[in-house]
Formats: sequence, structure tokens, C-alpha cells
Amino acid sequence: MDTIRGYRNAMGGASDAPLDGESLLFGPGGALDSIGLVSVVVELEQVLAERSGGPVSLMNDRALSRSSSPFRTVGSLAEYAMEQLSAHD
Amino acid sequence: MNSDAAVGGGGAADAFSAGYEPLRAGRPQLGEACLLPLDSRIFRFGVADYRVAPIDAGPPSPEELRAELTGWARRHGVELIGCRVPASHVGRVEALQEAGFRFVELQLRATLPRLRAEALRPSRLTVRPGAPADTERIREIANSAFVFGRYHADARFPRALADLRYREWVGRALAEPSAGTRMIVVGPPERASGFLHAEVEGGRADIRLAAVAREQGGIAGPELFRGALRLLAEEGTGQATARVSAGNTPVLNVYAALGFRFHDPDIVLHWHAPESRHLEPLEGRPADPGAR
Repeated sequence: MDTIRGYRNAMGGASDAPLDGESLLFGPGGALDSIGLVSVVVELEQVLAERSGGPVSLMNDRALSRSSSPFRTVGSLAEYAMEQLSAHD
Repeated sequence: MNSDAAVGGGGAADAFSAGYEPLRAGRPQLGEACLLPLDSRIFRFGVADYRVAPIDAGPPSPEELRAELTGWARRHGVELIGCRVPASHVGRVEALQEAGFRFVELQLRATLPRLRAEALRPSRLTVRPGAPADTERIREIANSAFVFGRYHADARFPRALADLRYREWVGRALAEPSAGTRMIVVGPPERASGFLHAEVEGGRADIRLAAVAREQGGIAGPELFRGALRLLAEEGTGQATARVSAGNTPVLNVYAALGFRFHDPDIVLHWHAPESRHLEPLEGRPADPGAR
């Protein structure tokens, strides 16, 4: 959340707008642009890798092929990250 | 990218133009125009490009230019004329607007002067040359992904026709590629999520069009550009250029992140024939292309 908030604020977004699971990450009204989204996902991968002790990939063809994008909202990204972390375990 | 992934395709005159001719013989101050056969065929009405006379030729009066444009358009069955003028030529822009042209958008030239594969990390997604099996998917993406480019930016121009143009564009690039045509896609075989069309000549790649499916939520765009540029560099291309709508900040940010520089801003204007049948009313149309 802090990473997303920090990026959004740096890009001139509303700094006091609430950010929760329903918040759109990308697209009209989203917190991030595409470069911001990629940056956040890469940072999240690094955090997860540190916690799990091995590489974790969130940005891959499987994610791209899903009917509903895991990168759409804060909640869907969190859910997808937990899913990948569980699969890693 | 993403919901608003779109670049290029914005040239007032593109590669598919016939020769220019003076609006009126013996009056070079009036500039010259040419028919755009491909756009005319797609839209089913005449489309042309207008080129202003050199700046030292002395401008015609707006009334004379309006009358000559109207006459030339009628003689050639043209309903829409595009024109691109350097953004610093504010006097020309004003005169063109007085003659009936309307501002459509500001375009920038983007250049990556040194394209090197080792400077680009490999894409995290599959980025590959397009195959015949990708054709329908690419046409589908081209039909719905764009919100920028001069036809989409023209509030009076029907969105369906603007979409059709891009769909036909990629179909043509896939069906009739030249030696320099590169169609690069992101996504595994038969599941393309986006495409990038470039024309390569003399070691330079000109990115003409790129788009990512709206539902792909952002990550595919930057990865497509990064991966495509890497593929182009690996085959020996040393420079990349593109023309980008200044309002397309998502793509501008991707280009900036990849090291492109921006220069040569141009103002794009459209002139619609008074009797044009294709024009849409302004009422009820979203003011913001992103609101689509």
C-alpha cells in the first residue's frame, strides 16, 4: 500500500484519497500508470522473494492469460500475490 | 497501453499517399494537397493531406485558401483534409483555422538515438514476431484499443471509422508486409495481448502503431515495447523513432522510461468539407477520450 501510495503521490494523484482492496490500480481512475504498475509489481516480487526465500514471479504469461486481470485492483493483486506465494510453498 | 494503449498512426500524411499537387497552378502560396488512397478506400469518401507553402512564400488570405480548398476538395471528391504544421508556426496555425481547419491534436516525434539490446532487460512476458495465427486477435485489439491518433482525436469524426482504419491497417501490414515490416506481439502463440508494428529501413525502426488489449491491465504495454525494441536491436536496428500524440501520456511515459527523447512538436488540423456526410454531432460525445 505504501509503495502504491508513494508512486501515486509522486505522479500528482490525490494524496488523501483512500486506498483499499477495491481501489483500481490501473486504467481510468486508477492509482498508477503502466510504468508505475510494473514498478510496483517488481517491488512486490522482491518483497515476496525475501519472505519466501526464493524467486516469485507475478508478471508472466500466465497472469496475462487470465480472464480477469490480477493487476486490476489492490485486492486482486494481493490475492494473486498470496496465491503465488502459496504455490511457491 | 492498457486501456489507452495507442501510439502512432497519427501522421497527417502517411506512407500511403499519392503525389502532391498545387491547390491552384501558378499560386504556390496556396500550398499543395494529395489524396490518401488507403484512408479514402477504408472510409469510402475522399481523404487528403494538405501541405502549406514554405514559410517565405507569403500566406494567402484565409478567404482565398478556404475557397480554393473547397474547390479542390469538390473536384477530387474529398470530404476531409488533414494538415500538420510545426507547433512553433503559430501564425500559420491561426491562418489555417481562419480558413476552416480545426485543431485536432499535438504530436511529438520520439527518438531513441542508440538502440542497444544489452541496455534492455529481457521482457518478463513472451514477446515474439507475429504469426498468421495471430491475425484475427491483432485485428480485434486494433479495433478497440485506440483512443488517440488524429482520427480518434477529431470530435466530429465517427469513432467506428477511426477504429476500422486501425483494424484495416494491421490487416494490411500482416497480409502485405514489405521487407522492412515488423509485426511483434506480446503473449504466447495464439494468445496475443498486444502488438507493435514497425517499419525498418537503413538500421532505423519507425514505430507506426502499437496497442494492448484493454483487459490486460497495464503490464503488457511496457513489456511489449521493451521486448519489441530488444528484438529489433538483436537484428541490428540501431535507432528507433515514433510519432506520438502529446495527450497519450501513458505511452509517452513508456517511451521516456526506455530512453526516448521528444522533439519536433507538430499541430495536426482537420478541414471538413461543408457538405461532409460523415460528420458526427458534438452533442453526447465524451469530451475526454479516456472516458470511453
